[in-house]
Amino acid sequence: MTESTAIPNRIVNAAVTVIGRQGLRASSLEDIAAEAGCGRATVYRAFPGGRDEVMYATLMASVDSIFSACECAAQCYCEEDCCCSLGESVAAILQSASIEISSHRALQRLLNDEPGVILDLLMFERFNFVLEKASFAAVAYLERFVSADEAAKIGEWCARVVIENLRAQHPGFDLTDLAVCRQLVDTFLVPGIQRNSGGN
Amino acid sequence: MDPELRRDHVIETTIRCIENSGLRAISLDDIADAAQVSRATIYRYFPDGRDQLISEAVTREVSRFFGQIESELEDVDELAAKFRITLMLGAKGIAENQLLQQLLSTEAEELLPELDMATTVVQGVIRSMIVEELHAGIEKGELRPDLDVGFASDYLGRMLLSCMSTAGQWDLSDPVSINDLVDRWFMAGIRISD
Repeated sequence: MTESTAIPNRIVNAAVTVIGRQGLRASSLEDIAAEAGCGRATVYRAFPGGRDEVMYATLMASVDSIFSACECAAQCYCEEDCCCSLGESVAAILQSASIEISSHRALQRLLNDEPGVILDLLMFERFNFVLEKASFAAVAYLERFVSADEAAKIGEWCARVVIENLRAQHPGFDLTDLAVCRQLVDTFLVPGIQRNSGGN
Repeated sequence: MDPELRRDHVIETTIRCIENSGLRAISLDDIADAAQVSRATIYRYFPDGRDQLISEAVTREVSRFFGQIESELEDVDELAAKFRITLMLGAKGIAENQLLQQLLSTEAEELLPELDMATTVVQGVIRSMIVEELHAGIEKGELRPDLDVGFASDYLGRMLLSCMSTAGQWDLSDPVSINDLVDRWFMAGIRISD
């Protein structure tokens, strides 16, 4: 890690910890600076917009951490000699996104105490940003199975399923359980996928 | 005045107050003044006061929204067509709802949790409507007999709401795009495949 990204990263990590502990509204710039072990001036140098900019960067970093977890799951299933199916890969991606979200203390804290902040990213027009990001990521994860266009649609489907589940959890729909992910993917996604050829 | 009517009148007045001045700026006194009732009357009908009024007002608007869509589905038989019409009217209704769009641009953080809660209530209604549709479809031999109806209705209800509120890669004003969406993400998993 270079010097220029080390400090912003440290501040964002500190903000994740502070928000997880005390929620967003009650987290001041001073709290975050103290957690990061630096002064206010250092925070302002890295984030000239102050607290708002730190919070925005922190939310984006949290979204990125979910995508990183998905990438990890996709890669594990994408070894050259791997014999898994498209359905298995997609189910693993769904599960890893759900586990990352349910174990992310700052996100859980916001969902419970200050849901407006998160919902603003996840409802109506604003949610297109997350859907586009998921489509883009899925093209890389799934290109060995389907066309880029098809992979982009699958990525969008995954983001919708994970986020709807986050908004209204329902017994029997626990996406941290791989078997539930498999059932969902095999029943509702796979039959509608258009294949390039007759292959797997 | 009949208690039900009076209660109703207060909720409708709250909706008009939100239209005029947004969510944050409204006080219980404003609503009492506009409805020409006393604070005590409001507390008798709505013991939790302002918060309860706002959440009931939002729930009423959301139910009205879905009620209008439901009335358009009365003469439609085919399940796929019901999904298509719901998506098209839902997306159109959201885009054209001026109060919603105005509150989203100015008071999203206040509105969204209320809307989310109201939608959860409506989602229960949508789910049970889908359950009926699925049973009827299985009966008629059009849908897979081994379908897990509870699981399927949950998925279909969520996907319906997700797609109508955020279009993603689909164009919900284009019948071809809607047709493709319903075919892939709604019908493919539940109909009998050939």
